[in-house]
Amino acid sequence: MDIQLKRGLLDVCVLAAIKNKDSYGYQIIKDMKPFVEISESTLYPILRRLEASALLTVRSAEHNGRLRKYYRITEKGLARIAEFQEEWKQILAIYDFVAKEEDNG
Amino acid sequence: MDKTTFLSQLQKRLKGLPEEELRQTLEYYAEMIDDRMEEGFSQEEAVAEVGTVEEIARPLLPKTPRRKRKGWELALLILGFPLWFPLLIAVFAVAISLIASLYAVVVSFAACCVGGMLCSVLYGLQRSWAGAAFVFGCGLACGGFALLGFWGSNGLMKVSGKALKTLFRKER
Repeated sequence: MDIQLKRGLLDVCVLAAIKNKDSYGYQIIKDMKPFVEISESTLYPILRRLEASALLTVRSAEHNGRLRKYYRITEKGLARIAEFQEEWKQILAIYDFVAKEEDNG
Repeated sequence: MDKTTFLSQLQKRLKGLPEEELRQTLEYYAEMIDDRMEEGFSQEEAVAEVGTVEEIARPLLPKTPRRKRKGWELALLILGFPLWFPLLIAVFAVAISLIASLYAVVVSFAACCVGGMLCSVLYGLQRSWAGAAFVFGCGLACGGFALLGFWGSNGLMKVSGKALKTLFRKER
């Protein structure tokens, strides 16, 4: 798959993983696993990027006597997911057209 | 590998990153290992699952570890311009004149060759054909020198060109 496209998709996947509930690194990886395999070293730059562009915020909370980082989606992050869904409606429409022409031919 | 060894190796590999970024990265991977261990993985397994130090470091380090030119080097380069620029031109001029003189020798030998051969005819007609043969021979010899000189100069140019190329590649 196109690298640029995959990167954008993973960004949205991570946002979706924290959409309903704040989450932490390992949990995000586990939640995504049935759909997309993502490694720790792939996730890390994504989290940093999303934080830098204010699509999520980070807070540290105590867990079992150590600190764990929890990620929370921002308004901007939610908007990014909505935008993604709009975009994909268009892409699916294009896909339907391509598939239809393929069948007719 | 245990967690401490892994993290210290990662820290060593990421040396050069800003302090804050380094701290956050190490915290992230420590958390990842702890979370895995909490789930029942052994320390060894948890460390192995997180990935290799190389894998982790590559996307975080700058693409090409280029040496930054220091400020004083740049200043020296600019201030030294009136000195090094004429020197550079002089070096070029010397090189070009060397090449020109090399080929001038070749050309003069070639001229001697042609001249000698023509002269030998006149010499033969007016004096003796024995002398003419001598002059003709001299002309031929000059022709030989011209050819040798031509090939030699060409070879020399090629070799020095290659030498210059490798020199500048090393510089880069």
